[in-house]
Amino acid sequence: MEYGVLVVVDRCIGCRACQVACHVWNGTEAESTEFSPDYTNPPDLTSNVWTVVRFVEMGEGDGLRWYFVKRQCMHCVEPACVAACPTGALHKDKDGIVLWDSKKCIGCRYCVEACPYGVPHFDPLDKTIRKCTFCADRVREGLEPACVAACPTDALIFGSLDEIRARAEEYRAKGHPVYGLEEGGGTSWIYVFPKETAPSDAGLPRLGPETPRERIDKGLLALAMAAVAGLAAWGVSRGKAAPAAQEVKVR
Amino acid sequence: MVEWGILIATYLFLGGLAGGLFASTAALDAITRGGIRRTSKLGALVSWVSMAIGLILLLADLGRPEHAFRIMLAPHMESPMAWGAWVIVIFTVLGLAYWLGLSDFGGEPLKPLRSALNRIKDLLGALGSMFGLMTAAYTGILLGFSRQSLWRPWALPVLFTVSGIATGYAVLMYLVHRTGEDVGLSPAGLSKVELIVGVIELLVALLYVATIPTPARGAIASLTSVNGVLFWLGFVAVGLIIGEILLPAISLRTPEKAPSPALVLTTAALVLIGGYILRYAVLYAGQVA
Repeated sequence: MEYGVLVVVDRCIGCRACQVACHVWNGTEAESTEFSPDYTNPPDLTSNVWTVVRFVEMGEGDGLRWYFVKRQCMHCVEPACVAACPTGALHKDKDGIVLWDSKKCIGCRYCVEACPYGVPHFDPLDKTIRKCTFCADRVREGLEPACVAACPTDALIFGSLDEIRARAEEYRAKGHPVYGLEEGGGTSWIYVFPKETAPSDAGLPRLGPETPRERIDKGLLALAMAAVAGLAAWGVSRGKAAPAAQEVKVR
Repeated sequence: MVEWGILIATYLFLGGLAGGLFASTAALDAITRGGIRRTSKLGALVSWVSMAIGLILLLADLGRPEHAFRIMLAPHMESPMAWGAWVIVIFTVLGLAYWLGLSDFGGEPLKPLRSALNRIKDLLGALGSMFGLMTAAYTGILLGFSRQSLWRPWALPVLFTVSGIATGYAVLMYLVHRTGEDVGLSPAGLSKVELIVGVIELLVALLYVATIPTPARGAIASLTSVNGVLFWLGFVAVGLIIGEILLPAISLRTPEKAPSPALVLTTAALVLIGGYILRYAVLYAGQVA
């Protein structure tokens, strides 16, 4: 069974209990930080900060509201980071969780560049990448992820991905913008936004349905075209060779 | 945040140069049926050394270079970086073999190997050209598989490939001038090739900028950003318009005369500077866009 989480944005009160729970459970070091202008704190994910609540204004006119949108690894259905990883250090397990193996990571940071959500971060001390693990060590023992367990308003709902997708569809049918059902091939963390808002207001990227695999196929096609061009350039030159010219023998 | 910095910019440039130089060298060698041995040998060597330096920079950029062997021994072949690494390694081996077949390296003990490699020089030249242009294209494809809007247009691998050919060809023209070998083509013919490559590259560069999505385009299209100034002045104006178009056009005004040493050297220098600035500006602008 694949796991999923539904993030119901307008239930979040911005208490950041999820951030604290994440640090406590995973033993990641707290970072010295300051309030950013929009009160998001810390301002971004880092190699030690695996989840952060963004404080963001969404909507327009009378509908303008202050919302709190949690960020963490989306555990994509077809993760770009996994596709980019040249050694297989990043991998997606059968339960949908995207994990990394420090022993295999060479520190190339291709996953950092590839992830559309800016999630994996390079740790300057470990020289490897780090990110949210979906609390694999908890969920595989029947527990909820630490952030979900800590949430006081049930803004985070944990379940099977099928169940989470079905609930997201229900919200969508009622007119709520939903993010994660199709984007980039879909994600395991799916967001339900308040009506009259847009996921892009919360910094979620506008992704088409193109999956990483489809993009890689286009890259392979471009590579094949370069191969043909190289061969053709040599072949045409050879064809133009003066027949009378002499081959030079090796000395 | 800039994850990939100067080491990667230099590697992208050297990869393109190495690929373009090998393909140009092998093509000219094929046209002359091996009649420019010294030029070919030098071209293959400079190409190989460029690629080798590029690989060292690539390793130096890794967080854990001591684990780099995993890409070769246990690669995740879906990753563009994994297949790119294989392309580069194969290209490096082919380049070395091509050069060895033309050289005197190793004296008598290596003569049988050199003779064998020389006999398959055509095969090595064809395969090396193929893998050389794949290497040049791969540097753009690598960036294309990312979230950076500035790196995603499909004109970027094309631009990097054409730029690799332009820089490689400029270096080859300098080597032809240094060895003084007869390449079987008139000076005008050689300059014309450079000019055509320059015009194609200019068109591809404009296409690239035009196909960057609007919010990110400013990072390279606008002259108010450092990378924009580098791109338009350093790459387009100096490297492309002056180095690859105007200077070859000047050479064409006296078609029967070989261009002066100063002109050949200046052309090569401007094209190389432009090619380097292209990689630098695109790499940095992509990460701040």
